[in-house]
Amino acid sequence: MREQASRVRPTDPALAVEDVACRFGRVLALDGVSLEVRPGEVMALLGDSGCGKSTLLRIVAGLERPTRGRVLLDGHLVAGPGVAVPPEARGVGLMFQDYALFPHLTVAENIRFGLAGRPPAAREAADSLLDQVGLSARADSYPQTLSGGEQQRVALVRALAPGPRLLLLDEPFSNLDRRMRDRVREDTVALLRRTGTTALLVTHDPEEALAVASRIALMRRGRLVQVGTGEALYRRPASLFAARFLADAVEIPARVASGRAETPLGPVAAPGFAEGAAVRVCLRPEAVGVGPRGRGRDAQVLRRVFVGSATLLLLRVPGLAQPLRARISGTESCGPGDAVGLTLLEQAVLVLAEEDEGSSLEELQTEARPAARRSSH
Amino acid sequence: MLTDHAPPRPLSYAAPALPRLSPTPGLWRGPLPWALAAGAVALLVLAPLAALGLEALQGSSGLWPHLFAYVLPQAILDTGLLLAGVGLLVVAIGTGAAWLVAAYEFPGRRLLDWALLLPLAVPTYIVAYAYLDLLHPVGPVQSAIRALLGVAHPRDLMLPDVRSLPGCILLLGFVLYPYVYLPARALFLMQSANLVEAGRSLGLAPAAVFRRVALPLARPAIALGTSLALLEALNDIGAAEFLGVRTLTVSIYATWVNRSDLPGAAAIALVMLVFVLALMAVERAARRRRGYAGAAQRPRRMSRQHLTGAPALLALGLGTLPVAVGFLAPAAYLAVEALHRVRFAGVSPTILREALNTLLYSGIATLLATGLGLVVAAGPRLFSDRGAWRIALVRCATLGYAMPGAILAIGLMPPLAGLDAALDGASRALTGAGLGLVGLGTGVALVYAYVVRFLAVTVGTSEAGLARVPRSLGDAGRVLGRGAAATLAQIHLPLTWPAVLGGALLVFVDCVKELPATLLLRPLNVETLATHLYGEAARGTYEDGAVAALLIVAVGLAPVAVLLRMSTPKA
Repeated sequence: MREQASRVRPTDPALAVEDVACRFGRVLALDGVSLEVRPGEVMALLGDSGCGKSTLLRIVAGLERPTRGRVLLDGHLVAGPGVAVPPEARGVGLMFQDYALFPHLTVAENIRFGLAGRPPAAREAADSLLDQVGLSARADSYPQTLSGGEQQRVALVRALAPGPRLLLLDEPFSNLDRRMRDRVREDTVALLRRTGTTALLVTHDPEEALAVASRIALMRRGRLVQVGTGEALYRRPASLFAARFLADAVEIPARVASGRAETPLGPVAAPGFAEGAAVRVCLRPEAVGVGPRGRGRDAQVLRRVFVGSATLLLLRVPGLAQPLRARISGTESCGPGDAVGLTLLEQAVLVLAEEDEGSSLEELQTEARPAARRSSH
Repeated sequence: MLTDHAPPRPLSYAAPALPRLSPTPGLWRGPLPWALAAGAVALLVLAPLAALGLEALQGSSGLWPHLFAYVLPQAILDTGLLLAGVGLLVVAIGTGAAWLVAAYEFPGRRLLDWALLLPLAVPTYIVAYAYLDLLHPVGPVQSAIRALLGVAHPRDLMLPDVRSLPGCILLLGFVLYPYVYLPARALFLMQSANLVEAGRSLGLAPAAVFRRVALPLARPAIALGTSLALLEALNDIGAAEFLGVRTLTVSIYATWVNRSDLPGAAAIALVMLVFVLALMAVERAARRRRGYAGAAQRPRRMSRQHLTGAPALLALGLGTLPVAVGFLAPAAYLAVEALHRVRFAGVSPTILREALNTLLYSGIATLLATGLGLVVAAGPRLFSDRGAWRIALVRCATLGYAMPGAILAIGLMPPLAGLDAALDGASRALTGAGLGLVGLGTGVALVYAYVVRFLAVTVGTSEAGLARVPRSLGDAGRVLGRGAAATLAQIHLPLTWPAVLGGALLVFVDCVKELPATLLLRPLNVETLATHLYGEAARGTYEDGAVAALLIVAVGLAPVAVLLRMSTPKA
């Protein structure tokens, strides 16, 4: 049997979650989640608050018990029917959203907390880690006296010090202001790479997931929606939900007729859909090409928005209720009122099945939330 | 930042060997030991209640008619009137005083703010003991009134006797109002600031703001405080006995001590339990509507209205009255009497022995209650799956606080007597020598009663302390390799010891003050300070009583400071 293997085999995933469900009273927080994290990779669990991603993290850490399913670490069964290895025996690190630094212990004591019973070399290694994040000088300070960024680094080092087989990170950057976050995020990823740590990171922020993780597992209402590289999720979302979660798009409802979906911007290839299927054609800014009038469909510039790295055009297209957005390099001279020609870049256009029971409004609202949270920082 | 500080050198970090994963569920590292411990505590708490029911059922069939004919009508009437009167009085004094110090600024307010808590240090039987003498026809107050009016003889001016139901209500009201004052003050200070100001800005006069905004907001807190005060009034045995009021508690004591009728006492205790349940039902109903009390997001202090001149004097006078009646007068009386006694006879060895007894029993009970309270409170914090049964266990363990000492004592006697007999018999059979009364004869019973009665205090303070430790800290301890017990010891305890110590102090003082349970369960010929005072007052002798009472009041002052700190919201 796999879980009785005494050694870690190279074929074993660092973490395997098999059909895990978790129920709190009447709430089904997780509903049959299966997931594998490969040794050395950084995976992101992405989803809205309340989608079950933090619960999954706590189950892997051993802080919650699944009501169904199994959890294996390096091929060892740690949670399943009749088995519940307590968190202290799992060799898993966890970095908390609020950092959870012990206020009655100094930075050094916090970092050594997880090293009880380890050889002195482990202590030196931990001290070296502290040095690497530039905090040796603060070793005897108490956590409350550190800045938010410093606390974040101490929490990271504390979680890494015992050399966990898997590091779990629960929204590790959400308590930092935006200016600082990108920097800390890069540093964290660099440290994870250098230490060769396998990590599972929970976030509600698609940008963060794309920036940090080699693979992303997108969750919704206790279920896994899609697992893949960030690029795969972005370019080939498996569902309308996934497409909306990763980026904003203008959606055009359409019906499939002989393998094509008709839109005010012309027909779009819709392979794999049944005849008459209700779909949504999703147009992100990069799917819309802008040229001189006469090339492609006619459109009128409503507004020109400078966002720094690019310039966005808001365009009115005859037959389309909402304005379309397109990204231009910024050297073009067109402004409000100008007439332009639009072309669709077929490989960037997404055609996705309409989601049932008119849930689109609710999805739009849930999608709007992470964006709103980001802007509030 | 990190990359600036860390030179691009190879990582000297080598992961230590991973701990061996054990696939065993880890039965004894999990929640089972806690469940067993909490279950045992809950059983210990519930045992006296169950025994009480059994004992009452065992009485002769003629028991209830007799009780209903001769004992219960008077006892129920007196208890009901007493509770109603004391309830009205504590609500009026407690809420009024709390509003006075929360809404107005006047000279002496800061002093009154905490001085209003002082009567908490005076147990009901001590205030009665003091006023019995103070208001005696030949005592200082009546003598002064006669001197003022030029009356020569007590017979020529009959003042109302304090030894009456109204007298008892007045005295209890003036020492028990802090139970209402404390939560009402905290609520006025903390929660209603914005709403009160909104009321004012909408054109309400200060009095109308109090009646229409602050009072409804504070109603749950007032109800809670009132129920606690009334439980104290129900528990009282000394004041009622000294002042000649035949309450249920007095009847229980008389039935047991004078007539050795345990089933009769148990039956009266059951009736008393009905009163307790009614009080708890009222309190629960008030708590259920607590939701709107927490509406204000960020507590902000209410700006006080400044008073000057006559209104300021009036406020000061009104605020000083409860302190003077409930604390200053009795404490001064006791101090003077105690001084006389010590000057006259020195500190008697009896008092020292009794102080030591008090310290011993209260100390042991405090240690036990603190330890058990911490264990019971820690369970739901340490283990993640928050089953309803766990909450139920904690609630069971804290039921004792609602049980007046007399009920508890009567309920404890049968099981402990049975246990004593069984142990004695077993010892005789095994060794030929009897053990005597291990439970009732040694103070085990007394400590048991103290722990059951005051466990709710330590559970409550421990819970409050633990609740301030973020859940993630405990989780971090577990993930970093500590078991549940080690996490409790290394993370939670260092962060909660002030709360735990505060709880221990409250329990210690409660044990020192507790009279009915001590009276009924102390080993033969063992006296504590409280029972000494009761004995002297009951006999009408005034020897070391004042010294004992003064010692109890002095000890009782300690938690006033703690309570004040715990109930003052951080600005």
